[in-house]
Amino acid sequence: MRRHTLVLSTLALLGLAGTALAQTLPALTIDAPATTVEIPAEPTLTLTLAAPTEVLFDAISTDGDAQLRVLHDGSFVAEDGDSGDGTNARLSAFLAAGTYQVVAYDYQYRATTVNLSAVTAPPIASAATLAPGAPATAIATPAGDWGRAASTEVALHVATAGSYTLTADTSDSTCSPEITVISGNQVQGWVISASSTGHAASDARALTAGDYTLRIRNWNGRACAMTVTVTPAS
Amino acid sequence: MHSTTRHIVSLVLGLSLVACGGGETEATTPPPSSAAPTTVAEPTTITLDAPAITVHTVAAPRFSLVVAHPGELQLDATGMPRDVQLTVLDNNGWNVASDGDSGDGLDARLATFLAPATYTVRVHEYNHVAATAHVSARALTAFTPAATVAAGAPPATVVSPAGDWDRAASSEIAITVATAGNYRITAVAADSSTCIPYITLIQNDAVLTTNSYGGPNNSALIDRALTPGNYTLRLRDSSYRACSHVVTVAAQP
Repeated sequence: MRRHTLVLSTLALLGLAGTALAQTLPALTIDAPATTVEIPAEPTLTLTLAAPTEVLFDAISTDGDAQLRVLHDGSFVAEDGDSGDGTNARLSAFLAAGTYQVVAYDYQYRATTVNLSAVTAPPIASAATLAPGAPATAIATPAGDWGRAASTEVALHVATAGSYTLTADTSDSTCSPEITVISGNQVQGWVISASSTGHAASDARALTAGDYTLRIRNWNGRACAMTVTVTPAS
Repeated sequence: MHSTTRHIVSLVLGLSLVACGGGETEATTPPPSSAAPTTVAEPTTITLDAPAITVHTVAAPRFSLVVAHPGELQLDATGMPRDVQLTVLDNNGWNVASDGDSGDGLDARLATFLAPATYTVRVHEYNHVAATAHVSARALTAFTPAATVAAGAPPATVVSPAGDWDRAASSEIAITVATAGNYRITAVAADSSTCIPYITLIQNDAVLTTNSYGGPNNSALIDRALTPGNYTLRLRDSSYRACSHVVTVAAQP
């Protein structure tokens, strides 16, 4: 009993009883005047791209939970928290030529070390080549633990400018197809998404003559069998 | 070394290790060293296809907030034109409450019921840029109840005011329960096409539960076993509009 009391008394004296953690912090006192504190800036790096590029960013931390945000002229472009291994951040983004800001921070706003990289994303091999009006083409999107890893691509050649309906359909009620139209390393318009699982992703797009890439994935990252069609819009 | 002293030292060292990042989600900054730190300039550019570079994220300012008695506190973090954010964490590093812009402009403001304990208050800037923040905490006084409702009594009609944050848009009702049992508390907006009630059941300065959309036609509903005593129902519109609500407390079979 005496030893127990002595231990507790010593801990109390050291300020460790209850919470050891908080005792190392400055106090915020209830009903006291406001305390002024300086919030430091997080690391912000400038990335300059000479040409449109799909950039793969990785933020890897061994002592924290790295987060990543990409800005262009201060405006939000993309961000990620945990798409890399473990709690590391990873994202890919099609970026136009220009100057970007890459911000790294920790999820809990702690002081951590982050290894940051930006590389040209490796190409994804085309699973098929399509022309408007061709029969439906069967494809299989792979399972992946983040968006790009779960994607496959289809090459599309448009000979005549016009409006075309792009469709990725599935008979699997657990799949939710998504189509990203890419031309010249730039995303064209919004991503075409299914309204809900088990439904097709379909939309009409005005396309000029030329070569396109349709990046297709199952929104929830699971492997999925789909058919892809491109038909002249009526 | 004396056995008791050895035990104390071991325990203190163990706790110190925990305090220095041995466990949960919050880690502390190590104590300053007597040696002058080596300053290494952080990189400011990142080059496409170059090897990875190393950067160091910075710790956001943290405070210790000691709450001696249960009660509702208001915390403010101002820093315009920057966008200061505010988070209250418990002793295990879990998020208790947080806010971004409920104060004036981009300032952060929150009200939360806290049990006696030591909490950590953290401030950071939304866009991760440097900012000067002014942080304060104050004890809030209780609302004057707009009505008192007993279980089984006729419904009470209560108006929640318009407000620019949740507490400012709230009214309170006193609820008295004489007999232990299961009760259903409902709040139905007079104009259910516009107003969506959000209710919070409070007892002894602690939140028991909250609800919105729990009942039909956008009404709020709480089913709960209640012991005899006094409760408070805080009531507001989900979008902080001025709204009239009909509140009923009924015993359930």
